[in-house]
Amino acid sequence: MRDMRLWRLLLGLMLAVPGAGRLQAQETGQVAGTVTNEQGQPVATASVVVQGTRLGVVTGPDGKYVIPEVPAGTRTVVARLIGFGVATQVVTVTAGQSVVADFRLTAKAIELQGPVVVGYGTQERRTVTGAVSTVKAAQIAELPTSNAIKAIQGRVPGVDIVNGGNKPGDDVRIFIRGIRSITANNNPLIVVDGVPIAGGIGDFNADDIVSIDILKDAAATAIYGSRGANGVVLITTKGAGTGGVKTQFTADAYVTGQRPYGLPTMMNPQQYLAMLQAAARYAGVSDDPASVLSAQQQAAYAAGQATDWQKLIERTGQQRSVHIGMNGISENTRFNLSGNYFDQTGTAVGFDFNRFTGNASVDHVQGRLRLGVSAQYTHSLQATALGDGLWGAARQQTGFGSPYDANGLILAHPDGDALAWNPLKAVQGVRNDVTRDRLFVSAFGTFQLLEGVNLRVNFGPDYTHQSTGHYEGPDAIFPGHTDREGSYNQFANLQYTLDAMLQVSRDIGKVHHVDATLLYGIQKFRSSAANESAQFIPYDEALYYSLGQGQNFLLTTALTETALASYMGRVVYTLRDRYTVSATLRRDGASQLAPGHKWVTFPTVGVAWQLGDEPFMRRFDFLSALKLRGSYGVTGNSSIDAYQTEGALARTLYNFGSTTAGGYAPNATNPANPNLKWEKTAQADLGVEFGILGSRITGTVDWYRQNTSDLLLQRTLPQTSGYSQALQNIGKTRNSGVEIALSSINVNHEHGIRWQTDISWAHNHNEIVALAVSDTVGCPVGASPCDLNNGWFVGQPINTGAQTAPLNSTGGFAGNPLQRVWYDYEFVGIWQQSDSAEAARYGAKPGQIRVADLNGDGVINAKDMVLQGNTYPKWTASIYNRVTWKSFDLSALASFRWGYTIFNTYIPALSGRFGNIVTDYWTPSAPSNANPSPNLNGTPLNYGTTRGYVDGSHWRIRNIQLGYTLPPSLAGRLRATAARIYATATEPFVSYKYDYFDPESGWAGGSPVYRSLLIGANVTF
Amino acid sequence: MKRLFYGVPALTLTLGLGGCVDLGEKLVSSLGSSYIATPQGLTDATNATYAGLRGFYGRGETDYALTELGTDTWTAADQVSAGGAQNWIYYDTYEPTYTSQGSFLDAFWGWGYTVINRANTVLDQGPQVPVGGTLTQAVKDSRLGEAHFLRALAYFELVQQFGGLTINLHAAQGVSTEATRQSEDSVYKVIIDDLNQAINLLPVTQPDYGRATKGAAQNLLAKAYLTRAYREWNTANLQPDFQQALDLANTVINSGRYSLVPDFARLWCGTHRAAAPADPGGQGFCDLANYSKRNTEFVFVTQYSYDPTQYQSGQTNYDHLEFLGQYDGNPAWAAGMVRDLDNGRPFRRLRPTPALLDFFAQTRWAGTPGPGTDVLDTRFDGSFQTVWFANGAAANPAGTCPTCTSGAPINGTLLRDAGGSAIGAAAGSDTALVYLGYQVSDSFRMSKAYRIGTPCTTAPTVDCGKDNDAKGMIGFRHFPSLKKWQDNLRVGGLSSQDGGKDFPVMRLGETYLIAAEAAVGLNQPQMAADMINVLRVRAACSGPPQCQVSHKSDPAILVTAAQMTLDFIMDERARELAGEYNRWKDLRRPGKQFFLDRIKKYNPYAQPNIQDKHYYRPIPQRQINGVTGTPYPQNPGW
Repeated sequence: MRDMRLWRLLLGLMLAVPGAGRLQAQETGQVAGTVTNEQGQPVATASVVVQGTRLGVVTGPDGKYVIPEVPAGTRTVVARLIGFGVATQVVTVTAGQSVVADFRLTAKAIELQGPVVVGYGTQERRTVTGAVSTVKAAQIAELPTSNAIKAIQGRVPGVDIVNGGNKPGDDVRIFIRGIRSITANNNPLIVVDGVPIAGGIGDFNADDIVSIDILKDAAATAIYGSRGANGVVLITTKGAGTGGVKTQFTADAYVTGQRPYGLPTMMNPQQYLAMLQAAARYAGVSDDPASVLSAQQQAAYAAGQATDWQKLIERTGQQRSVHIGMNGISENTRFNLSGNYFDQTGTAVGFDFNRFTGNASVDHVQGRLRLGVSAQYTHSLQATALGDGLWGAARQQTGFGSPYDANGLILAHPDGDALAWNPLKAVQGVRNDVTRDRLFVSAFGTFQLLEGVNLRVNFGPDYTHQSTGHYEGPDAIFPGHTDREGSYNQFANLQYTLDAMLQVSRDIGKVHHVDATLLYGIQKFRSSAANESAQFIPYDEALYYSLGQGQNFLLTTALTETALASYMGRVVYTLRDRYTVSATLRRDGASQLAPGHKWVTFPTVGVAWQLGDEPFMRRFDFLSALKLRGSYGVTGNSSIDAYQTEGALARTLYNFGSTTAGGYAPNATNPANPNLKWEKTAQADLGVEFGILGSRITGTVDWYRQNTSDLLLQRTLPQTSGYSQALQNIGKTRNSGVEIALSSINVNHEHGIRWQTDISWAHNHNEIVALAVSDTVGCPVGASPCDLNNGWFVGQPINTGAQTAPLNSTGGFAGNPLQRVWYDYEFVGIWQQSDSAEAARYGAKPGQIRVADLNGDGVINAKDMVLQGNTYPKWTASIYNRVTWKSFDLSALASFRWGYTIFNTYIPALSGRFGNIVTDYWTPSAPSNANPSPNLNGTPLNYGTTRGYVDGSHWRIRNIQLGYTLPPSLAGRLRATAARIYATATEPFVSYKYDYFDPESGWAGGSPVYRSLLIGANVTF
Repeated sequence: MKRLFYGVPALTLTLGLGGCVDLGEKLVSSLGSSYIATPQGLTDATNATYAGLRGFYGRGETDYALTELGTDTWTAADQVSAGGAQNWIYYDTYEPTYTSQGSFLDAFWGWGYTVINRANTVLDQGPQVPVGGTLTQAVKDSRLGEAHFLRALAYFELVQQFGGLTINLHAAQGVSTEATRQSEDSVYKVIIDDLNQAINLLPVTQPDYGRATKGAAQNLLAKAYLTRAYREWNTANLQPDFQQALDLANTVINSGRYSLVPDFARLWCGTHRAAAPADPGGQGFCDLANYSKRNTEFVFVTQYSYDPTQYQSGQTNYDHLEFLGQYDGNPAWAAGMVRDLDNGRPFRRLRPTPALLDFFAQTRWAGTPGPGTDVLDTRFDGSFQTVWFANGAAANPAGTCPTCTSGAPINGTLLRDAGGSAIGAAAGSDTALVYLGYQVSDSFRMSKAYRIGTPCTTAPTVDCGKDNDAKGMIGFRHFPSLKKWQDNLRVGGLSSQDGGKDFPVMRLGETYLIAAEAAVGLNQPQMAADMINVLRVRAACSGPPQCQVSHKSDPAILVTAAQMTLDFIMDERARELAGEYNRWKDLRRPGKQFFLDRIKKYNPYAQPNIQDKHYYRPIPQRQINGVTGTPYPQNPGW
């Protein structure tokens, strides 16, 4: 309650400031017009604002705009768009009338001015004190995809976006300026139209997005407090009133074909048999084909039956999208309606994704009250059957035999091995359907208390219902149950945000400008889940829809609730339009943390100086703009699972005779922690923004350092403690880095060729600064103290997976493939026959993998492990080129990831049971020094992982797009106001040292990456 | 100012809507730790301690790797051994790749401390729980007694593998990463003290089948005393400990609560269900259709269930997989066989050493092993599957030896060998594969339409190689399968790893052997012989169809006082308890030299490498790495 009083006090102070100004109401008129480029073609998504007010809109596809409710009088109207210079006009607005202001924009490199979407409002870029990067709709549109975030992949320095998977409908992972937290969430906050959303933006249609602004430093993210600790992605959707004095329709459609690449080459039966025979000789057993092959394999071999299983499941994927929009405006009401249908068929049989989105926005002005609501509904279905495991199932096959029997029916085990399932059987017999329904609403009301003083309420409920229906037919997949089994798991998440804020934007005298915001906000999250499963479902058609007809039901339900409350005050003061100071104070309370540690205060300050505008800088006439800025602030992270402070008991089951006996035990991975508190990040940022040669070349350079303390750490414990893990606030990490963005207009002939280049480069260094342990025993050189159980080393980046080996005990990849530090034995080759005496000392024999005995004690043990690199790139970069000539445009984006080590999960297993990658291997007569002797069984080799650490450095052309905008005369014949056709090739070229997987994903599991070719058209009527 | 009046209510409304949001947490889908100190909580915490047992007993690779591999009786089969590739082959060979990072060490260590911590929560909070309602004084006493028993069991399992331990007698309060290691002596004191308390608190019988009883605590204490007796630091208590072990074992034997199951085979399997191939010889797969999990001989079992609520990963018994040899898939071996639920999924982790087959052969036959010799001791046939009934669509093997080219299928007849002894039967189906305990001539093989596997030698200490499969001999991949853990009731098909058969931790048969071993220690050989003869008479074949005549009173089955040596006790334990997850601990009980000598003598793969340090398991590296402050002591040599 103390905080409530504080709030009221601040409120009183805020109201006192504007209260000094004029309080007279005004009559209004409207400003309308068209924005075109130098060639006279309409420019869409340009922003047009009335200077000194918060009034502003974005132009429609036809370049038109309308700004209603403009106070009468002489007004300066400014039009801006990224890549163009600013255009200004002075108009006289008469009450109740419309005045025309048309603009012609000239091309420029990245604009250092213009509005920037910051938290809870927009701000002039000139005065922004934080590090903010913006991507506009035009750039997003260049990479048509299901997920708008993918379109800015590689575009923004310091923002690392990596595919979460390559199945249709898979989401992406976003890291802004590296990784701070080991255990708590590293995902940035995504805010759509001012409302933080729950989860990713995969449910949003890229066509509805106007701009994506990324807030990277404390000054920019501070107003989101704890939720913004990992950066903030602000998404502005078209919302209501994108311009146009009359109703208009837009249709956008494309189709594409997709092919996987980076598939390993698997051994054919001849190669496989040769490997088996080598393995048999090595094991000292008969290499007679009759002895090493199973009955079915022998028969298939004799009959010459062979199957390339990857080819069998591969297909050309297709992606289609149709978008129809309509918007309009009446006197006081604006609306926007759009619908989109997207579907994608994966590059393997059985993978499908489709999505419908509908978006409706309405905005109404009544006197001083403005109300708006924007609602988006999404329905999607991701059908993946066996999922990524399908590719594994295909590669598990040895290549012998046919997928079908003599009657054309699918064989479950084509080569006779009871554990190798025919992937087609899985496609036929397994269903895994994820259905999502999401309703996201953003509603606001603003009430103008005084001129330049608004009261605003945002309300944003975000409701998601997801159901996962899973069905497995008899003998369809490992482990091969003979009955039909199904499950139906669903959850319903409701998150809502309610923010009340008072916003002040006033000029005081001629030289002072103040923007101030006071906010009280709450966010609540409630998730309920229900999972059901059954065995012995009587017939196939029931799938997971009639579990009640089965037997052996299992049922669980669960509830999780969390809440967050915040108070925030922000003041931005600008002097002479040249010096800006911003200060933010935010107090956050989170339910997940321990009583007494729930509330914390985060202060932030930032300054910006338009150095280039100072009179003494005029002599540097090549310099058209120069801005310095700096910020320092603290943010926090509380995104851990609920109920961890209390140490909930774990449910156990046992039976006494036939009686099931439930029990409760201390949870070995979650002891009660009554001290669990906020993880805090203090960060400093220094930035320079400049423009030279009349802003033909512009750029931004940022340096930053982030120190994270009270790290929320899931810590592995010695088991004598009674626990195996505990979540604690321990340890410190640091991120520091440099980000550079450059933009240049290389060629700009009027009515001719225009060529623009954007370059971004970012370096981030992540390291653990301190850990809970101070032990140095057993730590590698230069990396102590260390926590070997978790793979954490001071001076090294963060490692996930709670282990240092890349694979867990069941051979699966452990942890996040992008956040691993490798610590393993050092591969030095293969034991050769000449080494056999030495090999014997280590219990090895020629043909086995040889690792270094670093301390020379004659034993290979934990003391011989060394750091083998990590998955954090030293630098990332991108180069974007765009050439326009007349109505043609051609753009290409190249991206680079350099200086990191990934683990190749495709290292040849050389095991004699399942499929193998083509490779050389050790035999007494042809002794390889790279791969060991093959092995008769499907079991891992000693030190097998040591061969897998490879340099992941690579570059790629991410996409190339060629577009043609129909001249107005031709478009007119189609009765269209604007029309564009385009073709895009994605991932046409990737350069890396390893042949067979995409190093960007960090590992080789899952579905392969694909390249695609796409053709689309965008028409506005 | 009028418009300001509109604003203030709007603002107030907003604040009202949000309220001062409640940031307290209310746990709904689970329970907080205070629950344990309630009457029902006490029972639930005790139940959870039992549930913890499943982390080791029946836990597939962990249990056999640490108790059966690398012993005189079991060695690695092809899935662990060929090419030396499966990375825990070192538990069999003791080769240099065996380190403190070895597989399963940490899982086993963690299992022990999980059970101990769960028992400690009961023992910490239980005494304060007031008696009332369903929590009678008897129930409360029992729960505390059960917790003492389970804690002692976990400490006993750990101390037998690692030696000295960290002793926790109270549940963890908060998180501590410091740990000290106490001597082996003090661990045994804790075990003995816990078991004495358990004996005082536990009832003789429990209303719930499977809860620890007074007899179970006495039986465990007998074994703990027997084990402590030999310890080099315990010379002062050597005789008293043997005496305690003998007395306690006798108490259990004479308690009247337990009795030997008359037919040894019924300990593990039922008789074949009507629809299954008839198996009068009792040498086929283990059919659980007519099997009762509860029998009078099991003193304490870790229970499993086929109930779907428990039938999930980590809750089921994986032991049905480990001891099975390959019977399917290889036409040079037995084309008539395909993998099925009855015969099990052959993981081929362990195969009997020649020594184990020899220990059985010493008592199995009523005369010289060979065609026509009658079965004397049923324990081999009760323990091993040696006959497979053809189940495949393919024809029964044409040719049953390397040189055979043809052979007619046999239908519906009781198969007897050339001398008339039953070696399996096939009512309505063919016999595809038979393992004999002796070598036969090629002409004998050729006279049979089924595949015959034989030992390649009868010398107990020679393993004549891995590549004998093609010659019709027992090899790395093809060998008689231990059927004690076979589970054809498991749900989900032949490939399912989830079994529901109980895991007997202690049974009365072993109690006689504990008594016999204590008697040898006390130099009372006649007492030892008497104990063993009880088991021998039970094991003797009772007549057709398993054997031609009853041998229940055949003097050939009996042992004499003169035979009673520690080595003989170990041989007898092998026959009685083969594959019951005790062997490694049994071998190390009499001391380091005994352990090394037995393994070197009978396990040719361990022989070149085994050293003094292998007498103790290395403390898991995770424990060493995780302890802060004073470093955690490793065992010598590791």
